[in-house]
Amino acid sequence: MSLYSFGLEPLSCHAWNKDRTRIDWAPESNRIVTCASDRNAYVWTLKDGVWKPTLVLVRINRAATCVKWSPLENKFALGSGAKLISVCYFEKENDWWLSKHIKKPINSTVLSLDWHPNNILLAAGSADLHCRIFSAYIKDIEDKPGPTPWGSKMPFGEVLLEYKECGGWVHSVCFSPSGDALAWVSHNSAISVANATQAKEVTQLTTGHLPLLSVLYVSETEIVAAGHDCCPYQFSYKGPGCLEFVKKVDIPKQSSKGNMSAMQHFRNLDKKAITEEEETGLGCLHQNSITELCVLEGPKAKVEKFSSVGLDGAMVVWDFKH
Amino acid sequence: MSKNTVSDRFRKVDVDEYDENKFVDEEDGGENQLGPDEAEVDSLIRSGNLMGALQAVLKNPPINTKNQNVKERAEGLVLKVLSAFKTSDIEKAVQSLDKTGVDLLMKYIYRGFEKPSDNSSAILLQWHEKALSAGGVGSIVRVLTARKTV
Repeated sequence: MSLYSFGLEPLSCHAWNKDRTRIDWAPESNRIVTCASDRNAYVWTLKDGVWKPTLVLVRINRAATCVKWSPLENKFALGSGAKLISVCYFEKENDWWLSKHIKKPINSTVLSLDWHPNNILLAAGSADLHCRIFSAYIKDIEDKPGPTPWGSKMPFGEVLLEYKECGGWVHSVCFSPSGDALAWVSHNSAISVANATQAKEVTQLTTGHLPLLSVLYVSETEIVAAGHDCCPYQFSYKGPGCLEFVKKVDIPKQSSKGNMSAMQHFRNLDKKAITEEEETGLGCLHQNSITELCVLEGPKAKVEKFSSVGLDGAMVVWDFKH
Repeated sequence: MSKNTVSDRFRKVDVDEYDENKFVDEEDGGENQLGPDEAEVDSLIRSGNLMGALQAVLKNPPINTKNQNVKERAEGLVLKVLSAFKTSDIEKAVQSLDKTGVDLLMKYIYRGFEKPSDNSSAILLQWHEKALSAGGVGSIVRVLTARKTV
């Protein structure tokens, strides 16, 4: 697992380690939350140059699969294989993090989470082939939210969107910068967008590629997604029925079968017993599935750079030109 | 060697059936799905309108029904249409289909692979090649992930 710090600004970065542990970094308050298949989660705060963990009472009996800080960083949501979402907030009296559970109507592992910019709504993609938006309003720590295009009644656990024709496990969900649209990618090699301002209408685009695993909004209309094809793709959503593929973000460079030095020739012969230069790598930067995309630079509405991490252990930083 | 004196029938019990939290797919009314119209398709084949026959046989796929007879009849009909095409016409036929048509064709092709008969696999493979170049690997992924299929 690797975390890179770019410049002086703390960045929000996701990384995998072998144990399917998930991690999320809150840039403003500089706290990290980690969760693992040992059913625990910890919030780490930096004190005197050392990261100190605080236990979170998550109360789940299966592995935690994903975790995300809310936009205001006063709470975070944790998805788990226990078919529930744990929304955790800090209780000052006892100096620990408490959790409230969202259980109904989730029927299988929660695979991905994303917060709406209003700090109340939470989107969840699950292995039960559904994509849902819940209210994660915790009245102990925040004011009642105003109405949004998704709905106006938002008690904790209320379902504001439940889409069941996703066609496959929903690997990743992402709200648009304004929060009015929700994009998700599912295992049937499709990307879908639900539009709150258009009666929550869902537009689905099936692709001819391998399934996508991560989706990210880079502006109000442009979406980047990546997955088992090892290369990020750009899509554009302009309204119901108008979801289309724009281009591959990774332009494979043509490798020149130029002159190999005699030294390289003998090295190839010695190490790999081949006499010619052979292309064994994929024609793109990542050599294995991309597991996660993350905003690196720029506000959500106009992302300048984003990063991708993959099963090949590499992290690539991409520039996005609007 | 020791011989088993006590019954081991317990090993054949399907424990998943007793799991209270077992995931069940949502039921969708499929009683009325009858599959493509046999008469229509047959007459189109006889009249030589193979493109029309292909469009007709891909209508009303028995996706939601659990009735295996309907599914088998549909598959047989599709196979009949696919076999009637000349190899050189396959590509054009596939290109006349829209995205959902290609996905559906792929589902029928894989179902056809499951029960090979005389020459079916060879014909299906030719169709598979053309459908793949039209639908990409995504269409095959959708065959694998579809909970309800033909």
